[in-house]
Amino acid sequence: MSVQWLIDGAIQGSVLALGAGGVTLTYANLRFGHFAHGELVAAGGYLALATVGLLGGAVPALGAALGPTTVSGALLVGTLVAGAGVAALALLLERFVYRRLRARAAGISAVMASFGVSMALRALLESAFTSSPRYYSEELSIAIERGGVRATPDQLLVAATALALLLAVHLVLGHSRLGRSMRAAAENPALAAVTGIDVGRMAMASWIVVGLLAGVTGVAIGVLGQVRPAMGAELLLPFFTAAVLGGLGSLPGALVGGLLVGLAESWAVATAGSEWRGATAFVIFVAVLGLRPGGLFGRPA
Amino acid sequence: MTALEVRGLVAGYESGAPAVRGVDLVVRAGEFVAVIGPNGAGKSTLVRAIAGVVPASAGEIRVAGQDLGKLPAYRRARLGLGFVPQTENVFAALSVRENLVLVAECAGRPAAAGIEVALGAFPELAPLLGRPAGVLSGGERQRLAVARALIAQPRVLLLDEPSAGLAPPVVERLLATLRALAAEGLAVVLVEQNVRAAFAVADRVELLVAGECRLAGSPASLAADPAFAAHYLGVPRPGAPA
Ligand SMILES: Nc1ncnc2c1ncn2[C@@H]1O[C@H](COP(=O)(O)OP(=O)(O)OP(=O)(O)O)[C@@H](O)[C@H]1O
Ligand SMILES: [Mg+2]
Repeated sequence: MSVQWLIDGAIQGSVLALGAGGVTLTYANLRFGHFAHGELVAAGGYLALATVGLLGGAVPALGAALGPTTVSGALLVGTLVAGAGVAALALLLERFVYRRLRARAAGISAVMASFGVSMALRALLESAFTSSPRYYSEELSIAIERGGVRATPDQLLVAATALALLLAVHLVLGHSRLGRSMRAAAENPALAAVTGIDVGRMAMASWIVVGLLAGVTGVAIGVLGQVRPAMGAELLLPFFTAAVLGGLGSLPGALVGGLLVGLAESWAVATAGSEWRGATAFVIFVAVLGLRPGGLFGRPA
Repeated sequence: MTALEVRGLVAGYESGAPAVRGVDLVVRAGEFVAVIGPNGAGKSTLVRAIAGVVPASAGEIRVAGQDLGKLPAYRRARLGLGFVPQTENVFAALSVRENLVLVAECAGRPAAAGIEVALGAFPELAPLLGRPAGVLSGGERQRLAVARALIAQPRVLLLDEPSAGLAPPVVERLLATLRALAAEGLAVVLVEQNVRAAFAVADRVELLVAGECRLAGSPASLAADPAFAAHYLGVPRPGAPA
Protein backbone atom coordinates (compact mmCIF):
# COMPACT_ATOMS: atom_id res chain seq x y z
CA MET A 1 0.00 0.00 0.00
CA SER A 2 1.24 3.48 -0.86
CA VAL A 3 2.03 5.87 1.97
CA GLN A 4 -0.06 8.56 0.31
CA TRP A 5 -2.62 8.13 3.08
CA LEU A 6 -0.02 9.35 5.57
CA ILE A 7 0.41 12.63 3.72
CA ASP A 8 -3.32 13.10 3.20
CA GLY A 9 -4.00 12.26 6.82
CA ALA A 10 -1.38 14.64 8.16
CA ILE A 11 -2.74 17.49 6.04
CA GLN A 12 -6.35 16.89 7.05
CA GLY A 13 -5.09 16.34 10.59
CA SER A 14 -3.48 19.76 10.72
CA VAL A 15 -6.85 21.34 9.85
CA LEU A 16 -8.57 19.22 12.49
CA ALA A 17 -5.89 20.29 14.98
CA LEU A 18 -6.71 23.93 14.30
CA GLY A 19 -10.41 23.32 14.94
CA ALA A 20 -9.67 21.16 17.97
CA GLY A 21 -7.40 23.92 19.30
CA GLY A 22 -10.34 26.31 19.38
CA VAL A 23 -12.61 23.74 21.01
CA THR A 24 -10.05 22.79 23.64
CA LEU A 25 -9.23 26.41 24.46
CA THR A 26 -12.92 27.25 24.91
CA TYR A 27 -13.17 24.31 27.27
CA ALA A 28 -9.98 25.20 29.19
CA ASN A 29 -10.53 28.94 29.59
CA LEU A 30 -14.30 29.39 29.38
CA ARG A 31 -15.25 26.08 30.94
CA PHE A 32 -17.79 24.69 28.54
CA GLY A 33 -18.14 22.62 25.40
CA HIS A 34 -18.97 25.13 22.67
CA PHE A 35 -21.15 23.45 20.07
CA ALA A 36 -21.34 26.53 17.86
CA HIS A 37 -17.61 26.32 17.12
CA GLY A 38 -18.44 24.90 13.68
CA GLU A 39 -20.43 28.01 12.81
CA LEU A 40 -17.61 30.28 13.99
CA VAL A 41 -15.42 28.34 11.55
CA ALA A 42 -17.95 28.78 8.73
CA ALA A 43 -18.32 32.48 9.51
CA GLY A 44 -14.55 32.76 9.03
CA GLY A 45 -14.80 30.95 5.71
CA TYR A 46 -17.43 33.40 4.45
CA LEU A 47 -15.72 36.51 5.82
CA ALA A 48 -12.64 35.59 3.80
CA LEU A 49 -14.81 34.83 0.77
CA ALA A 50 -16.45 38.25 0.98
CA THR A 51 -13.04 39.91 1.33
CA VAL A 52 -11.71 38.07 -1.71
CA GLY A 53 -14.79 39.14 -3.68
CA LEU A 54 -14.42 42.79 -2.72
CA LEU A 55 -10.63 43.15 -2.85
CA GLY A 56 -9.96 40.83 -5.80
CA GLY A 57 -12.30 42.88 -7.95
CA ALA A 58 -11.16 46.28 -6.76
CA VAL A 59 -7.40 45.64 -6.79
CA PRO A 60 -6.53 43.19 -9.60
CA ALA A 61 -2.97 42.78 -8.30
CA LEU A 62 -4.36 41.30 -5.09
CA GLY A 63 -6.47 38.82 -7.00
CA ALA A 64 -3.47 37.01 -8.50
CA ALA A 65 -2.36 33.68 -7.04
CA LEU A 66 0.88 33.70 -5.05
CA GLY A 67 3.63 31.40 -6.29
CA PRO A 68 2.54 27.86 -7.07
CA THR A 69 -0.51 28.10 -4.77
CA THR A 70 -4.02 29.24 -5.61
CA VAL A 71 -3.97 31.55 -2.62
CA SER A 72 -4.18 35.23 -3.57
CA GLY A 73 -3.05 38.32 -1.72
CA ALA A 74 -6.73 39.12 -1.28
CA LEU A 75 -7.21 35.80 0.53
CA LEU A 76 -4.32 36.58 2.87
CA VAL A 77 -6.08 39.81 3.77
CA GLY A 78 -9.29 37.79 3.98
CA THR A 79 -7.65 35.46 6.49
CA LEU A 80 -6.88 38.41 8.74
CA VAL A 81 -10.43 39.69 8.29
CA ALA A 82 -11.77 36.23 9.12
CA GLY A 83 -9.69 36.00 12.30
CA ALA A 84 -10.60 39.50 13.47
CA GLY A 85 -14.24 39.23 12.40
CA VAL A 86 -14.86 35.90 14.10
CA ALA A 87 -13.10 37.20 17.23
CA ALA A 88 -15.59 40.10 17.20
CA LEU A 89 -18.48 37.69 16.67
CA ALA A 90 -17.28 35.58 19.60
CA LEU A 91 -17.12 38.70 21.79
CA LEU A 92 -20.71 39.55 20.88
CA LEU A 93 -21.81 36.04 21.79
CA GLU A 94 -19.95 36.29 25.10
CA ARG A 95 -21.55 39.63 25.89
CA PHE A 96 -25.14 38.77 24.98
CA VAL A 97 -25.38 35.01 25.45
CA TYR A 98 -22.62 33.21 27.28
CA ARG A 99 -21.37 35.60 29.96
CA ARG A 100 -24.28 35.11 32.30
CA LEU A 101 -24.81 31.44 31.52
CA ARG A 102 -21.17 30.50 32.10
CA ALA A 103 -21.38 31.77 35.67
CA ARG A 104 -24.08 29.24 36.52
CA ALA A 105 -22.73 26.36 38.52
CA ALA A 106 -24.02 23.57 36.28
CA GLY A 107 -22.40 24.95 33.13
CA ILE A 108 -24.89 23.00 31.07
CA SER A 109 -26.92 26.15 30.34
CA ALA A 110 -24.06 27.55 28.29
CA VAL A 111 -23.73 24.26 26.41
CA MET A 112 -27.45 24.20 25.59
CA ALA A 113 -27.36 27.84 24.54
CA SER A 114 -24.49 27.05 22.19
CA PHE A 115 -26.74 24.57 20.33
CA GLY A 116 -29.19 27.40 19.79
CA VAL A 117 -26.43 29.76 18.69
CA SER A 118 -25.20 27.09 16.28
CA MET A 119 -28.59 26.75 14.59
CA ALA A 120 -29.20 30.49 14.48
CA LEU A 121 -25.80 31.25 12.94
CA ARG A 122 -26.17 28.46 10.39
CA ALA A 123 -29.59 29.74 9.33
CA LEU A 124 -28.11 33.22 9.03
CA LEU A 125 -25.24 31.99 6.83
CA GLU A 126 -27.66 30.02 4.65
CA SER A 127 -29.97 32.94 4.12
CA ALA A 128 -27.09 35.28 3.35
CA PHE A 129 -25.03 33.00 1.10
CA THR A 130 -27.34 30.01 0.23
CA SER A 131 -26.00 26.54 0.87
CA SER A 132 -24.36 26.03 -2.51
CA PRO A 133 -20.60 25.61 -2.31
CA ARG A 134 -18.30 28.51 -3.10
CA TYR A 135 -14.56 28.64 -3.80
CA TYR A 136 -11.80 31.14 -3.11
CA SER A 137 -10.22 30.53 -6.51
CA GLU A 138 -11.14 29.03 -9.87
CA GLU A 139 -7.59 27.79 -10.32
CA LEU A 140 -6.34 24.30 -9.57
CA SER A 141 -3.44 23.71 -7.24
CA ILE A 142 -1.10 21.37 -9.13
CA ALA A 143 0.32 18.59 -6.99
CA ILE A 144 4.04 18.20 -6.44
CA GLU A 145 5.26 14.61 -6.51
CA ARG A 146 8.24 13.33 -4.51
CA GLY A 147 9.10 9.65 -4.09
CA GLY A 148 5.66 8.46 -5.10
CA VAL A 149 3.65 10.73 -2.82
CA ARG A 150 1.79 13.85 -3.82
CA ALA A 151 0.76 17.05 -2.11
CA THR A 152 -0.44 20.35 -3.53
CA PRO A 153 1.26 23.65 -2.65
CA ASP A 154 -2.09 24.73 -1.15
CA GLN A 155 -2.08 21.72 1.16
CA LEU A 156 1.48 22.36 2.31
CA LEU A 157 0.74 26.03 2.93
CA VAL A 158 -2.38 25.22 4.94
CA ALA A 159 -0.62 22.58 7.05
CA ALA A 160 2.34 24.87 7.74
CA THR A 161 0.05 27.79 8.67
CA ALA A 162 -2.02 25.60 10.98
CA LEU A 163 1.03 24.27 12.81
CA ALA A 164 2.63 27.73 13.07
CA LEU A 165 -0.57 29.30 14.43
CA LEU A 166 -1.07 26.58 17.03
CA LEU A 167 2.55 26.87 18.11
CA ALA A 168 2.26 30.65 18.39
CA VAL A 169 -0.92 30.44 20.48
CA HIS A 170 0.67 27.78 22.66
CA LEU A 171 3.74 29.94 23.28
CA VAL A 172 1.67 33.03 24.07
CA LEU A 173 -0.63 31.19 26.47
CA GLY A 174 2.19 29.26 28.07
CA HIS A 175 4.78 31.98 28.52
CA SER A 176 3.25 35.45 28.50
CA ARG A 177 1.69 37.51 31.24
CA LEU A 178 -1.61 37.49 29.37
CA GLY A 179 -1.52 33.70 29.05
CA ARG A 180 -0.74 33.23 32.73
CA SER A 181 -3.56 35.56 33.74
CA MET A 182 -5.97 33.78 31.39
CA ARG A 183 -5.10 30.38 32.85
CA ALA A 184 -5.34 31.72 36.40
CA ALA A 185 -8.75 33.30 35.73
CA ALA A 186 -9.99 30.07 34.18
CA GLU A 187 -8.84 27.88 37.06
CA ASN A 188 -9.98 29.96 40.02
CA PRO A 189 -11.86 33.17 39.18
CA ALA A 190 -12.20 34.25 42.82
CA LEU A 191 -8.48 33.90 43.56
CA ALA A 192 -7.62 35.57 40.26
CA ALA A 193 -9.84 38.51 41.18
CA VAL A 194 -8.23 39.03 44.59
CA THR A 195 -4.86 38.83 42.84
CA GLY A 196 -5.93 41.86 40.82
CA ILE A 197 -6.91 40.15 37.57
CA ASP A 198 -10.02 41.39 35.75
CA VAL A 199 -11.62 38.01 35.15
CA GLY A 200 -14.20 39.32 32.70
CA ARG A 201 -11.48 40.77 30.48
CA MET A 202 -9.59 37.49 30.55
CA ALA A 203 -12.71 35.71 29.30
CA MET A 204 -12.89 38.23 26.48
CA ALA A 205 -9.23 37.67 25.67
CA SER A 206 -9.89 33.94 25.52
CA TRP A 207 -12.78 34.46 23.11
CA ILE A 208 -10.56 36.60 20.90
CA VAL A 209 -7.99 33.80 20.65
CA VAL A 210 -10.74 31.22 20.06
CA GLY A 211 -12.30 33.42 17.37
CA LEU A 212 -8.95 33.93 15.69
CA LEU A 213 -8.34 30.18 15.56
CA ALA A 214 -11.87 29.47 14.32
CA GLY A 215 -11.67 32.13 11.61
CA VAL A 216 -8.40 30.77 10.25
CA THR A 217 -9.77 27.22 10.46
CA GLY A 218 -12.60 28.29 8.16
CA VAL A 219 -10.17 29.70 5.60
CA ALA A 220 -8.04 26.53 5.80
CA ILE A 221 -11.05 24.31 5.10
CA GLY A 222 -12.15 26.61 2.28
CA VAL A 223 -8.72 26.61 0.61
CA LEU A 224 -8.59 22.80 0.56
CA GLY A 225 -12.28 22.27 -0.24
CA GLN A 226 -15.43 24.33 -0.33
CA VAL A 227 -16.95 27.24 1.55
CA ARG A 228 -20.40 26.14 2.73
CA PRO A 229 -22.55 27.00 5.78
CA ALA A 230 -22.05 23.45 7.12
CA MET A 231 -18.28 23.40 6.48
CA GLY A 232 -17.44 23.65 10.18
CA ALA A 233 -20.40 21.84 11.69
CA GLU A 234 -19.57 18.74 9.62
CA LEU A 235 -16.15 18.61 11.29
CA LEU A 236 -17.38 19.28 14.82
CA LEU A 237 -17.22 15.60 15.79
CA PRO A 238 -13.62 15.18 14.59
CA PHE A 239 -12.74 18.50 16.31
CA PHE A 240 -14.13 17.29 19.63
CA THR A 241 -12.64 13.84 19.12
CA ALA A 242 -9.19 15.32 18.55
CA ALA A 243 -9.58 17.60 21.56
CA VAL A 244 -10.69 14.76 23.82
CA LEU A 245 -8.03 12.39 22.48
CA GLY A 246 -5.33 14.96 23.21
CA GLY A 247 -6.84 15.79 26.60
CA LEU A 248 -9.49 18.53 26.83
CA GLY A 249 -7.82 21.79 27.68
CA SER A 250 -4.40 20.93 26.24
CA LEU A 251 -3.27 22.78 23.11
CA PRO A 252 -0.38 20.39 22.33
CA GLY A 253 -2.96 17.66 22.92
CA ALA A 254 -5.24 19.20 20.29
CA LEU A 255 -2.34 19.20 17.84
CA VAL A 256 -1.42 15.57 18.41
CA GLY A 257 -5.09 14.56 18.62
CA GLY A 258 -5.89 16.36 15.37
CA LEU A 259 -3.02 14.66 13.53
CA LEU A 260 -3.96 11.23 14.92
CA VAL A 261 -7.64 11.60 14.00
CA GLY A 262 -6.66 12.87 10.53
CA LEU A 263 -4.32 9.92 10.03
CA ALA A 264 -6.90 7.44 11.31
CA GLU A 265 -9.58 8.79 8.98
CA SER A 266 -7.21 8.71 6.05
CA TRP A 267 -6.14 5.17 6.84
CA ALA A 268 -9.76 4.02 7.15
CA VAL A 269 -10.54 5.59 3.77
CA ALA A 270 -7.48 3.99 2.16
CA THR A 271 -8.16 0.51 3.51
CA ALA A 272 -11.93 0.28 3.90
CA GLY A 273 -13.36 2.99 1.65
CA SER A 274 -14.45 6.58 1.91
CA GLU A 275 -17.79 5.78 3.55
CA TRP A 276 -15.79 4.93 6.71
CA ARG A 277 -14.35 8.41 7.18
CA GLY A 278 -17.27 9.66 9.27
CA ALA A 279 -17.40 6.61 11.51
CA THR A 280 -13.70 6.77 12.36
CA ALA A 281 -13.88 9.88 14.53
CA PHE A 282 -16.93 8.49 16.30
CA VAL A 283 -15.19 5.19 17.10
CA ILE A 284 -12.13 7.02 18.47
CA PHE A 285 -14.38 9.37 20.46
CA VAL A 286 -16.22 6.51 22.17
CA ALA A 287 -13.02 4.53 22.70
CA VAL A 288 -11.19 7.46 24.35
CA LEU A 289 -14.12 8.29 26.61
CA GLY A 290 -14.31 4.65 27.67
CA LEU A 291 -10.64 3.82 28.01
CA ARG A 292 -8.88 7.06 28.84
CA PRO A 293 -11.31 9.91 29.43
CA GLY A 294 -8.47 12.28 30.35
CA GLY A 295 -6.94 11.83 26.89
CA LEU A 296 -3.26 11.59 26.12
CA PHE A 297 -2.12 14.87 27.70
CA GLY A 298 -5.08 15.63 29.94
CA ARG A 299 -4.78 16.66 33.51
CA PRO A 300 -6.49 14.25 35.86
CA ALA A 301 -10.05 15.50 36.37
CA MET B 1 -3.87 56.57 60.10
CA THR B 2 -6.87 54.32 59.53
CA ALA B 3 -5.99 51.71 56.91
CA LEU B 4 -9.19 49.67 56.95
CA GLU B 5 -12.56 50.83 58.15
CA VAL B 6 -15.56 48.49 58.09
CA ARG B 7 -18.93 49.77 59.33
CA GLY B 8 -22.13 47.78 59.78
CA LEU B 9 -21.09 45.11 57.32
CA VAL B 10 -23.79 42.56 56.45
CA ALA B 11 -22.85 39.74 54.09
CA GLY B 12 -23.74 36.15 53.38
CA TYR B 13 -24.76 33.62 50.82
CA GLU B 14 -27.93 33.14 48.81
CA SER B 15 -29.10 30.38 51.10
CA GLY B 16 -30.37 31.45 54.50
CA ALA B 17 -29.61 34.27 56.93
CA PRO B 18 -26.50 36.47 56.51
CA ALA B 19 -23.35 34.94 57.97
CA VAL B 20 -21.97 38.38 58.91
CA ARG B 21 -24.49 40.58 60.68
CA GLY B 22 -23.42 44.15 61.20
CA VAL B 23 -19.69 43.97 61.88
CA ASP B 24 -17.54 47.04 62.61
CA LEU B 25 -13.79 46.67 62.22
CA VAL B 26 -11.27 49.50 62.23
CA VAL B 27 -7.59 48.75 61.70
CA ARG B 28 -4.88 51.39 61.77
CA ALA B 29 -1.78 51.24 59.61
CA GLY B 30 0.75 49.10 61.47
CA GLU B 31 -1.91 47.47 63.62
CA PHE B 32 -2.21 43.70 63.92
CA VAL B 33 -5.75 42.45 64.54
CA ALA B 34 -6.63 38.81 65.13
CA VAL B 35 -10.17 37.60 64.49
CA ILE B 36 -11.11 34.51 66.45
CA GLY B 37 -14.36 32.63 66.90
CA PRO B 38 -15.90 29.19 66.69
CA ASN B 39 -16.33 27.27 63.44
CA GLY B 40 -19.09 28.76 61.34
CA ALA B 41 -18.96 32.08 63.19
CA GLY B 42 -18.57 33.98 59.92
CA LYS B 43 -14.85 34.76 60.11
CA SER B 44 -14.16 33.66 56.53
CA THR B 45 -17.29 35.37 55.27
CA LEU B 46 -16.15 38.61 56.93
CA VAL B 47 -12.76 38.70 55.21
CA ARG B 48 -14.20 37.44 51.92
CA ALA B 49 -16.77 40.24 51.96
CA ILE B 50 -14.04 42.81 52.65
CA ALA B 51 -12.00 41.41 49.75
CA GLY B 52 -15.06 41.56 47.51
CA VAL B 53 -15.40 37.83 46.86
CA VAL B 54 -18.74 37.67 48.72
CA PRO B 55 -21.16 40.55 48.07
CA ALA B 56 -22.07 42.76 51.02
CA SER B 57 -25.76 43.58 51.36
CA ALA B 58 -25.21 46.51 53.72
CA GLY B 59 -22.42 48.49 55.34
CA GLU B 60 -19.34 50.41 54.30
CA ILE B 61 -15.78 49.38 53.62
CA ARG B 62 -12.98 51.94 53.29
CA VAL B 63 -9.32 51.36 52.53
CA ALA B 64 -7.09 54.34 53.33
CA GLY B 65 -10.20 56.50 53.41
CA GLN B 66 -11.43 55.43 49.99
CA ASP B 67 -14.93 53.94 49.89
CA LEU B 68 -14.79 50.57 48.14
CA GLY B 69 -18.56 50.69 47.55
CA LYS B 70 -19.43 48.08 44.99
CA LEU B 71 -15.93 47.87 43.52
CA PRO B 72 -15.16 44.41 42.12
CA ALA B 73 -12.54 42.32 43.90
CA TYR B 74 -9.81 42.97 41.33
CA ARG B 75 -10.11 46.74 41.81
CA ARG B 76 -9.89 46.33 45.58
CA ALA B 77 -6.74 44.26 45.14
CA ARG B 78 -5.23 47.03 43.03
CA LEU B 79 -6.05 49.56 45.77
CA GLY B 80 -3.78 47.65 48.13
CA LEU B 81 -6.09 45.13 49.71
CA GLY B 82 -4.36 41.75 49.98
CA PHE B 83 -6.23 38.55 50.77
CA VAL B 84 -5.08 35.00 51.49
CA PRO B 85 -8.18 32.77 51.33
CA GLN B 86 -8.62 29.81 53.67
CA THR B 87 -8.86 27.24 50.84
CA GLU B 88 -7.99 27.12 47.14
CA ASN B 89 -5.47 29.87 47.73
CA VAL B 90 -2.95 28.96 45.01
CA PHE B 91 -3.38 28.25 41.29
CA ALA B 92 -2.94 24.48 41.17
CA ALA B 93 -2.32 24.25 37.43
CA LEU B 94 0.34 26.96 37.46
CA SER B 95 3.88 26.29 38.62
CA VAL B 96 5.03 27.75 41.92
CA ARG B 97 7.13 30.24 39.96
CA GLU B 98 4.16 31.27 37.82
CA ASN B 99 2.04 31.72 40.93
CA LEU B 100 4.62 34.19 42.23
CA VAL B 101 5.34 35.91 38.94
CA LEU B 102 1.64 36.46 38.31
CA VAL B 103 1.23 38.47 41.51
CA ALA B 104 4.35 40.50 40.79
CA GLU B 105 3.04 41.32 37.30
CA CYS B 106 -0.37 42.30 38.64
CA ALA B 107 1.30 44.57 41.18
CA GLY B 108 3.51 46.12 38.51
CA ARG B 109 6.72 44.73 39.97
CA PRO B 110 9.50 42.85 38.16
CA ALA B 111 9.11 39.07 38.31
CA ALA B 112 12.57 38.70 39.86
CA ALA B 113 11.69 41.09 42.69
CA GLY B 114 8.56 39.09 43.39
CA ILE B 115 10.43 35.81 43.63
CA GLU B 116 13.02 37.47 45.86
CA VAL B 117 10.34 38.66 48.29
CA ALA B 118 8.75 35.20 48.35
CA LEU B 119 12.03 33.36 48.93
CA GLY B 120 13.04 35.93 51.54
CA ALA B 121 10.00 35.00 53.59
CA PHE B 122 10.07 31.27 52.78
CA PRO B 123 13.46 30.08 51.45
CA GLU B 124 12.14 26.52 51.47
CA LEU B 125 10.05 27.39 48.40
CA ALA B 126 13.23 27.66 46.28
CA PRO B 127 13.52 23.99 45.25
CA LEU B 128 9.78 23.89 44.50
CA LEU B 129 9.68 26.75 41.98
CA GLY B 130 9.35 24.50 38.93
CA ARG B 131 6.59 22.29 40.30
CA PRO B 132 2.87 22.71 39.66
CA ALA B 133 1.38 24.26 42.80
CA GLY B 134 -1.26 21.52 42.75
CA VAL B 135 1.25 18.87 43.87
CA LEU B 136 2.55 20.79 46.90
CA SER B 137 1.91 19.46 50.40
CA GLY B 138 -0.60 21.32 52.54
CA GLY B 139 2.08 23.21 54.43
CA GLU B 140 4.04 24.08 51.29
CA ARG B 141 0.86 25.37 49.69
CA GLN B 142 0.09 27.61 52.67
CA ARG B 143 3.58 29.10 52.46
CA LEU B 144 3.11 29.78 48.77
CA ALA B 145 -0.28 31.38 49.44
CA VAL B 146 1.18 33.75 52.03
CA ALA B 147 4.25 34.47 49.91
CA ARG B 148 1.97 35.47 47.02
CA ALA B 149 0.17 37.99 49.18
CA LEU B 150 3.43 39.57 50.39
CA ILE B 151 4.70 40.19 46.85
CA ALA B 152 1.91 42.64 46.09
CA GLN B 153 3.04 44.89 48.99
CA PRO B 154 -0.53 45.50 50.14
CA ARG B 155 -1.62 48.28 52.50
CA VAL B 156 -4.06 45.96 54.23
CA LEU B 157 -3.54 42.20 54.40
CA LEU B 158 -6.38 39.82 55.25
CA LEU B 159 -5.30 36.25 56.04
CA ASP B 160 -7.80 33.46 56.62
CA GLU B 161 -6.17 30.85 58.86
CA PRO B 162 -2.82 30.84 57.05
CA SER B 163 -1.23 28.75 59.79
CA ALA B 164 -3.56 25.78 59.24
CA GLY B 165 -1.44 22.73 58.57
CA LEU B 166 1.90 24.40 59.29
CA ALA B 167 4.38 22.98 61.78
CA PRO B 168 4.71 25.12 64.96
CA PRO B 169 8.15 26.59 64.11
CA VAL B 170 6.85 27.59 60.67
CA VAL B 171 3.80 29.22 62.25
CA GLU B 172 6.12 31.18 64.50
CA ARG B 173 8.19 32.34 61.56
CA LEU B 174 5.08 33.26 59.59
CA LEU B 175 3.66 35.29 62.47
CA ALA B 176 7.03 36.96 63.06
CA THR B 177 7.15 37.91 59.40
CA LEU B 178 3.67 39.42 59.59
CA ARG B 179 4.59 41.17 62.83
CA ALA B 180 7.62 42.71 61.14
CA LEU B 181 5.52 43.87 58.18
CA ALA B 182 3.03 45.43 60.59
CA ALA B 183 5.94 47.29 62.22
CA GLU B 184 6.61 48.78 58.78
CA GLY B 185 3.02 50.01 58.52
CA LEU B 186 1.03 47.08 57.12
CA ALA B 187 -2.46 46.67 58.58
CA VAL B 188 -2.94 42.96 59.30
CA VAL B 189 -6.24 41.15 59.84
CA LEU B 190 -5.50 37.56 60.78
CA VAL B 191 -8.26 34.98 61.16
CA GLU B 192 -6.82 32.40 63.52
CA GLN B 193 -8.18 29.31 65.27
CA ASN B 194 -5.15 29.01 67.50
CA VAL B 195 -6.00 31.44 70.29
CA ARG B 196 -2.58 31.13 71.88
CA ALA B 197 -0.85 32.11 68.65
CA ALA B 198 -3.31 34.94 68.08
CA PHE B 199 -2.79 36.31 71.57
CA ALA B 200 0.98 36.15 71.23
CA VAL B 201 1.13 38.30 68.15
CA ALA B 202 -1.93 40.55 67.90
CA ASP B 203 -2.34 44.13 69.14
CA ARG B 204 -6.07 43.55 69.32
CA VAL B 205 -8.30 40.50 69.24
CA GLU B 206 -11.88 40.47 67.94
CA LEU B 207 -14.16 37.64 68.95
CA LEU B 208 -16.76 36.84 66.31
CA VAL B 209 -19.73 34.68 67.29
CA ALA B 210 -22.72 33.98 65.03
CA GLY B 211 -21.78 36.77 62.66
CA GLU B 212 -21.39 39.46 65.31
CA CYS B 213 -18.43 40.92 67.18
CA ARG B 214 -18.98 39.87 70.74
CA LEU B 215 -15.80 41.17 72.33
CA ALA B 216 -12.75 43.12 71.32
CA GLY B 217 -9.64 44.29 73.06
CA SER B 218 -5.97 43.73 73.70
CA PRO B 219 -4.95 40.11 74.35
CA ALA B 220 -4.26 40.98 77.99
CA SER B 221 -7.64 42.60 78.58
CA LEU B 222 -9.49 39.78 76.84
CA ALA B 223 -7.69 37.10 78.77
CA ALA B 224 -8.66 38.88 81.95
CA ASP B 225 -12.29 39.13 80.91
CA PRO B 226 -14.47 36.43 82.45
CA ALA B 227 -17.04 36.95 79.65
CA PHE B 228 -14.39 36.05 77.11
CA ALA B 229 -13.35 32.93 78.96
CA ALA B 230 -17.01 31.93 79.20
CA HIS B 231 -17.70 32.66 75.54
CA TYR B 232 -14.65 31.18 73.98
CA LEU B 233 -12.47 29.20 76.31
CA GLY B 234 -15.31 27.66 78.25
CA VAL B 235 -13.11 27.73 81.35
CA PRO B 236 -12.75 30.95 83.33
CA ARG B 237 -9.03 31.57 83.86
CA PRO B 238 -8.79 35.26 84.63
CA GLY B 239 -5.37 36.82 84.40
CA ALA B 240 -3.67 34.11 82.36
CA PRO B 241 -3.26 34.34 78.58
CA ALA B 242 -5.35 31.62 76.97
N1 LIG C 1 -20.25 29.18 50.04
C1 LIG C 1 -21.20 29.16 51.01
N2 LIG C 1 -22.50 29.04 50.69
C2 LIG C 1 -23.45 29.03 51.64
N3 LIG C 1 -23.21 29.14 52.95
C3 LIG C 1 -21.92 29.26 53.33
C4 LIG C 1 -20.85 29.27 52.39
N4 LIG C 1 -19.69 29.42 53.06
C5 LIG C 1 -20.02 29.48 54.36
N5 LIG C 1 -21.35 29.39 54.54
C6 LIG C 1 -22.06 29.46 55.83
O1 LIG C 1 -21.84 30.71 56.42
C7 LIG C 1 -21.61 30.60 57.81
C8 LIG C 1 -20.27 31.22 58.17
O2 LIG C 1 -19.25 30.48 57.54
P1 LIG C 1 -17.72 30.93 57.55
O3 LIG C 1 -17.00 30.10 56.56
O4 LIG C 1 -17.66 32.39 57.40
O5 LIG C 1 -17.31 30.53 59.04
P2 LIG C 1 -15.87 30.54 59.71
O6 LIG C 1 -16.00 31.33 60.95
O7 LIG C 1 -14.83 30.95 58.76
O8 LIG C 1 -15.69 29.01 60.11
P3 LIG C 1 -14.33 28.11 60.15
O9 LIG C 1 -13.70 28.40 61.44
O10 LIG C 1 -14.85 26.72 60.11
O11 LIG C 1 -13.50 28.45 58.97
C9 LIG C 1 -21.69 29.11 58.11
O12 LIG C 1 -22.96 28.85 58.65
C10 LIG C 1 -21.51 28.44 56.79
O13 LIG C 1 -22.27 27.24 56.74
MG1 LIG D 1 -13.27 30.03 57.88
